[in-house]
Amino acid sequence: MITFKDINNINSYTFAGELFHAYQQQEYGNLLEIKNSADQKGRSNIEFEEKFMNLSMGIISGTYYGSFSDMDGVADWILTQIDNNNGNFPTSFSDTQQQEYLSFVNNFQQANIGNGTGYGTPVDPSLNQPNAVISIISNSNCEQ
Amino acid sequence: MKRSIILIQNILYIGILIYSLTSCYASHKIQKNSDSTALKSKLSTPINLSLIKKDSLSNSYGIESDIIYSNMVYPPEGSQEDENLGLDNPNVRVESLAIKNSALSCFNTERYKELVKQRAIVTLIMYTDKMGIIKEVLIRTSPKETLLLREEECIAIIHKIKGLKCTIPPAFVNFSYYKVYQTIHFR
Repeated sequence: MITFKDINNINSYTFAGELFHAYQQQEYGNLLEIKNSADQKGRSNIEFEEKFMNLSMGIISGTYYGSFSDMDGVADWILTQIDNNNGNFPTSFSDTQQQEYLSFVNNFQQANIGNGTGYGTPVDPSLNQPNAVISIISNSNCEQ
Repeated sequence: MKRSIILIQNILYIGILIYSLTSCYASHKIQKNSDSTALKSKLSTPINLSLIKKDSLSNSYGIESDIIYSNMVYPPEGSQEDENLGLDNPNVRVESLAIKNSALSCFNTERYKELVKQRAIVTLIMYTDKMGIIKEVLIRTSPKETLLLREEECIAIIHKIKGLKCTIPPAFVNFSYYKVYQTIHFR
């Protein structure tokens, strides 16, 4: 189920984001458990991946894209991974890529501590690659 | 005696007049020459593409004289972004298409086919003013990658794209300038 704060909060950006969270639920199967847990460990990973998806889609679809400062450097990093993989988004991450991905998740979490968004909740280091993004791209028939 | 004084006075006046006229002409000529030299030098100064920024994630090329925002801190100092207002932008597709078409118009058919064959991907980093008008354009490459495009193509793209519009999403409306990326896939 997808929920929005109110009708004024429904637009193409929030709709795509919430739809992606629904896809993450299919992929990971425990989004509600994370959200309802005491420390919400892993929620920052989930939220980061949604922003990561947004940037990746901008890059792949060829529409212009900006980002918030808590995602600083992520667009450049995604572009470099695509450049290093013959113009395609990688379908699996190496150890180095996982470490770099996780360092961006940590930056994102740090930038949001205490601001009430839930993005500053503890990072789950086992979620060290964007599996839902990889799954969507791998299962898509659209040419990158 | 009186006559010779008048004669000497007249000769003096004529001398001063001739001196004034010749020096005025000479200075005008010098000014005119220096103006035309400055103009000639301005017209003949080649516009070069320079490496504007380099870090561990990217190299960015642009025209040195165009630089306004890229050497400033981003996000702009004193500007507050509001994540609650989101990144919704209903104009993104139309504006992106205009940017891409402007960039692609800088290539002839042969060259375009060549880049398609290479599956080239070109990313532009664009800085807009607070009205969303593109004022500065950089061409991005990965750190290890060489620039796929020719220098004259990059310069043409930069000139074509400056002045186009990117709507600033609600979250950044109070930014004094805004940074966006546009990736162009040759396929």
